[in-house]
Amino acid sequence: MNDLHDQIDASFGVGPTLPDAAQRVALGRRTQRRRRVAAAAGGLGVAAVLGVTFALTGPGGSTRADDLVATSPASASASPSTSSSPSDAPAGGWEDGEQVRYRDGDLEVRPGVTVVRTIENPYARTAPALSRAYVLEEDGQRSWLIADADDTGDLGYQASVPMPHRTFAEWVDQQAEGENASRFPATMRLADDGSVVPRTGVTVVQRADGVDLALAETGDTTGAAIVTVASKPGRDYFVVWTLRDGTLEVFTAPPGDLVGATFEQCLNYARDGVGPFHLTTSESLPTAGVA
Amino acid sequence: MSLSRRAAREADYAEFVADRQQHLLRIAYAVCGDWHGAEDLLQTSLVKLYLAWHRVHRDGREEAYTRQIIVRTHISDTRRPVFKRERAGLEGWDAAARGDLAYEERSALFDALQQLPEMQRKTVLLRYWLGLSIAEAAADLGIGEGTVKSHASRGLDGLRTVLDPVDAAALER
Repeated sequence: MNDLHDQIDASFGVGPTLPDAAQRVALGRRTQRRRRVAAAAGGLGVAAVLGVTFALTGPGGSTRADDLVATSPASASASPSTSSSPSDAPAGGWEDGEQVRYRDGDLEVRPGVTVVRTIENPYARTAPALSRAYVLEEDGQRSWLIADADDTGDLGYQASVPMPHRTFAEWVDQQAEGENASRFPATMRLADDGSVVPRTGVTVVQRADGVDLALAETGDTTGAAIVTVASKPGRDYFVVWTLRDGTLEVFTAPPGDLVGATFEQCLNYARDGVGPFHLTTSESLPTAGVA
Repeated sequence: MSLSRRAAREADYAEFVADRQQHLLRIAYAVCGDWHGAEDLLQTSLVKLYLAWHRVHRDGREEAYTRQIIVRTHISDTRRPVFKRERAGLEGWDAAARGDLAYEERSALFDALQQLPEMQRKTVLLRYWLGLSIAEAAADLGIGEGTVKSHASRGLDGLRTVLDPVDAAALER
C-alpha cells in the first residue's frame, strides 16, 4: 500500500451514486438529434451545447426542424394532421425525443410524458415571453428541462439528467443565474467633461483608472471598477472600460467567474484577458461638445 | 433476434457507462476537487462520448477519450474563470455556496494534491495515479513532454511532506 498510485487512489472516496446508463443514453440521443437539427439549420441560430442541450423551435409549434429538414418526408406539412409519411414520421407533429414545444402562446408537453413538477418562470421573462422548468418522466426515465420562449415564440431549452447531489430547484437556480448573468446592467457613462462616472443607481465600491486591459489598444483611456447596482441588490459587478476617440465602451465580467476574487485579482484577470468580458454599453461624446 | 445497429451501439455504450462511469467520476473529482463540478464534467464527457461512440469504440479508446475530455474541459474551464478557486476578498460575493459534502472523504494527500498548481496536479494524477506514460500525459494535457516532466517533478516536490515516507524516499531515486 506504499505505492504512490495506491496512496492517491485511497486518498478520496468513491463519490455519489450516479444516474443509470439508460439516462445517459437518452441524453446522448437527444443531443444527437439536436445536433442534426443544428447541422441542417446551418447559420440560422440553432445550436446544440454538449452536456446541457439547447435547441430552438419556431413559433406556433412548427418546429424549425420541420422547416429546415426539408428532405424529411414528414416535414412537408401544410396539413400536419393528415401526414401519410413513413413509420418514423413524428406523431402529432412531435419530433423524435421532443418533449415540450411552444404552441398558441403557451408550452405544451408531449402526450405520454408525465409532468412530475414545474417551476414557473425561472428566467423571470415578461409576457408574452415565458419560461418554465419541468421534471419530466417518460418511459420510466426522468429528466430536468427548462423551456424558454421569447416574445416571438422562439423556444430554447436546457436539459439534464437528474443529478444525484443537486436538487431540481438548485439546478434551476444555477441555470437561471447563468442566464441572467448574460444580461448585465448599464453601469458607467460618459460625463459632459469626458470623464467616466457611474450611472444613476450605481455605486462604485472600488475603482482604478489607467489600468492595463487586454482588450484595450494603445492610447485608450481605461478604467475598472467593482460596482453595485440598486436594481440588482446583493450582487457586485466587475466592469472595465475603454475610451477611444470619444467612444466609451463598458464591459462586464460574468459575476460567476469572479466569485471570491479581490479587486486586485479582478484587475489581473482583465489584464491577462483570460476570461470573457461582455460589451454592455457603448456611447460617444456628442461631436458638438468637442469644439 | 438481432439488434438494430443503433440499438447495438447504444447497448455497448450503456455497458461502458455502467461499468466505468463511477471511475470516470473519480477522475473528474480528482481533477476539479468538488463533486458537483465532477458530475458536470462527467456528463459533458459522456454526452460527447455518445456522439463519438462509433469512431471511438472502433478504435478501443473509450476510456482514454472520455478521460481526455474531462481533463481538457477542466483546463478550459479553469483558464476562463481563474478566480473560482479563490476564497478571499470581495464582500457580498457568494464564495461559500458550495461546502464540502458530508459523504466526502479525502485525506491530507488529496488536499495537498488540490493545493498544487493546476497543471502540476493534473500531471501527477495522470502519471502516478492513472499510470499514463509521459507521451500519453502530454497528449491528454495538450502540452509538450518536457513540460510534463517538469510539472511532474514539481508536483511531486509539492506532495513530499504528506507522502508516505517510503514513497518520498522513492522519489529521491
